[in-house]
Amino acid sequence: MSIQKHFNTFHDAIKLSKQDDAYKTARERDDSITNDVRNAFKDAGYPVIEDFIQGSISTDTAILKKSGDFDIDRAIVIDCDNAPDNCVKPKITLCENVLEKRGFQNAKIKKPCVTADYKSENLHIDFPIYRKNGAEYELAIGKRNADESNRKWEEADPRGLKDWIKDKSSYIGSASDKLSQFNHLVRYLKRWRDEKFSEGVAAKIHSIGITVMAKQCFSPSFDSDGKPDDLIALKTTVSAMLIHGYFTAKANSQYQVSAFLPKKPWRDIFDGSSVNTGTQFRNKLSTLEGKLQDAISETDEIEKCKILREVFGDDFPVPEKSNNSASTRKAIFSSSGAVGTSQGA
Amino acid sequence: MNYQEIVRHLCDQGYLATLENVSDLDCLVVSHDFEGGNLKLIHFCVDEIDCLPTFFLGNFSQYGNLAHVLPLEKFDLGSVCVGDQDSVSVNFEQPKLAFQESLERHINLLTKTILEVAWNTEELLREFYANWLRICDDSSADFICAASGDLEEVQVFSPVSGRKWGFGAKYLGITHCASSLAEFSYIAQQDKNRSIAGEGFIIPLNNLKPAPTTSELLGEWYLQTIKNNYISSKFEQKKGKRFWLIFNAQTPSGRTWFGIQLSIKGNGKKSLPKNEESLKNWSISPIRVKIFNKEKIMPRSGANLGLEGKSVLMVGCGSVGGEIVYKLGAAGIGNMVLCDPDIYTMDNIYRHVLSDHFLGCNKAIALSLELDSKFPWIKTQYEIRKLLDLRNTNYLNSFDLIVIAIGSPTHERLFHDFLVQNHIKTPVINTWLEGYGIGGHAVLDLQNANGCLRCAYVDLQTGARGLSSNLNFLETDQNLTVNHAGCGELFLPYNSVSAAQTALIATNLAIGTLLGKITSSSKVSWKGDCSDVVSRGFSVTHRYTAFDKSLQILPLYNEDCDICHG
Ligand SMILES: [Zn+2]
Ligand SMILES: [Zn+2]
Repeated sequence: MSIQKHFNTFHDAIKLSKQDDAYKTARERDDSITNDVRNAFKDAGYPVIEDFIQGSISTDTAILKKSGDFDIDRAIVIDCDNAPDNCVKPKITLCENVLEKRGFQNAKIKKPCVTADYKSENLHIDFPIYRKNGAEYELAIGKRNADESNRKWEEADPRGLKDWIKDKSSYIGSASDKLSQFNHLVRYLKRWRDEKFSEGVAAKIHSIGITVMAKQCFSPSFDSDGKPDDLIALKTTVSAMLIHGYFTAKANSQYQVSAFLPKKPWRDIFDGSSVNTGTQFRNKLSTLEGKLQDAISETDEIEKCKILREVFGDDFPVPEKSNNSASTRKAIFSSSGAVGTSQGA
Repeated sequence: MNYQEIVRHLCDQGYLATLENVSDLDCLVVSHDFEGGNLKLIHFCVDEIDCLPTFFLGNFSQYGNLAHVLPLEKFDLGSVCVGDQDSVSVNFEQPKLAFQESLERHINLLTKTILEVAWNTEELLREFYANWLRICDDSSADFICAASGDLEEVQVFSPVSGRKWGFGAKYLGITHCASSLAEFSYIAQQDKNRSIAGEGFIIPLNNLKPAPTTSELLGEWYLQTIKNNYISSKFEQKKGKRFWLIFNAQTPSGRTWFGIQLSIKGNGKKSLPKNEESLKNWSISPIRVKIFNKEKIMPRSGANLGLEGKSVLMVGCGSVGGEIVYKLGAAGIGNMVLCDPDIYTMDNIYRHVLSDHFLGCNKAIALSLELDSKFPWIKTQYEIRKLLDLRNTNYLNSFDLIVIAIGSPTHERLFHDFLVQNHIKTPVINTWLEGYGIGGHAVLDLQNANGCLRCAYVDLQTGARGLSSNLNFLETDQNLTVNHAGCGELFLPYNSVSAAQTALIATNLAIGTLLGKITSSSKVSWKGDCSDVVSRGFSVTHRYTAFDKSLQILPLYNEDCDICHG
């Protein structure tokens, strides 16, 4: 069996998509809360003018967490004319008039959003609140008791960021296949992060950081028949990430990591991160590069898979016997009912 | 043409060259001494050289019969054949070099024919047929003969009157022995409306004399030939007004066929003339004979006798299938079953091989008729059935090859399932083209070899069984068809060039398979231009972009194919 097929199996095991049943329950909860938010904001005098899912689910790069938790990022948008100058006010409204009323004990106002956990559902929801002026969005930044200097409506471009991640216009030929390979790579890297770092450090290697770095360094790989080669694509992408300038060398072989948002507010995603985070990130990424190269050089299918399982954890399959064995293979059928082809005679 | 310069150049090279006037024509004359004497070579001046400059041999009659030299009527000049085929590319920008080259070739050939007598004789026999043609009257009809070559009588039929071309415009000769040959039925069919043209004999010659150089010498050649070869007394005693003598003889270039016709002057019947005296009562003329048998015609016209015993089932007689069967027929396939339920309609005319008088006819029947009339030794049958109706183990196993050109991935995959489940051993080729000239593909599935049709359908993104072939150059689910007249009238735009190109790669695979030259499951594609596709906003696959192996035979096996691992 080709190594790509094992990558596909791995990808199927870790991916989280809008169509997944597990996500559906989460989505229902989210919908019901969002409805309450609409009512509460209307009463408060700043009705919700739009809401949308942002984050990895919207860019097809979400993965199942090993803990089984789900994250939902639900953007709430109010009109600029109705928005209070104090950007923390709507966050308090959301927290007190919606979440606490619904019995969330742990609803919290964080700097960029309001969060709530559905313990029984393993569901974690983030609500970033924006005000919208024409086509421009501004994010409500500030904790509950922040004074004027620590809170502001900050320029942001959530839709632009999402479009930037999903953009395939620069890929020449088979653009959809290339974007799909990119999505695979981001998921592999996220699972690698969850697997290889302690929970505390992993939390600081933000998904959006990995996504932006991978997007900027993405190097697609397909064989001449058009079959994707995720292993080579990941290896070359990781190599590019290491030399792209995200990691700045400090004294004693330490590193500082920084990567800027490609859209407003153009801030450093890793702003305030420690050299420990940067050093671990840089060194483990370098180890990953080496392991991927080992996997590429290895010719035995099972040995290849073993190296990759070491990197990605138990969801990466290792077959019992290799290709040449007499073991029969189960047919995997197409997931389409029918496709239009170009075939004629 | 600057002949002064050419003469100067030839003289510089050591030749004795002069410009002269022979019979009021400007000539370049070269005199060349060799150990046996002197050659006088004459070139009649031209304005432009479009071939190797021609030199004639002067005082031709003094040399006797020279191979590759033919008399120029009315002059004592010999025309020399120095191998100036169309394929020789002449340096017309440097005429003096062309003259020098040509002169050297003339001198080398002439000295060899004059000095090496044995070689000269062998060459004369080698070119016997060509020399014989030279003395034949261009306007007389050819003589087509079906015979084995042994000494026997031949029945001769006149051409159909008024016929200018085709078999009908020629004399036909059929012997008793030929009736057992496969070609007999074909040639006998041509017999209608013909009258008997006289009696004849097939005479094999063991002792062949070089062909006469002029028709005046034919009588002498005839008398010597019948004197030196065996002719049965039964033939010698036979009396008639007109005799056809069809000779065949072994020459250095193979068995040659040619003949003469003898017609009596005046009335009465006489037996074959055997001396100068009796020959005076006859007029004698040479004839061109074309032997009609497959050993001669099939290899000569590019067919392979090794394919004669092979039997091919062709499923789908559309544009691609139609081209394939013509090419398989031309390759010499002996047996073909053509299969298609469709009728030939107006919509097909410009991309189908069939001519318009078959409109309204079933395509399989029409093609079967066309092949039978085009290829003398082919045996065709037809089936008015669809691919899926052919799922019968014994039937499918009775063929050496199955070729499928129906452009239906659903039926092709279903049929393949049947082949796998029933362990059909016959190799199968699936071939199809894609629209807008983008390309075409052929897949050879050799049972018991790695690689199968489904290898060409593995979904490269997921490794699952795909619904569209992974060989395709156009992405799936694009609205490629053009609707001319509502439902059921959708069609994929492509032209006859695409169909022919696709048929070529499929036929090539087919022949290679039947001759045992291709022994593993294979795939072939040809990649066309994408401008039409791009201008219509369609997208191509990654394979199209990367593909640079047009026409190459590549391994079919895909490591993720579950059927190859089942
Ligand atoms: Zn010659
Ligand atoms: Zn296969």
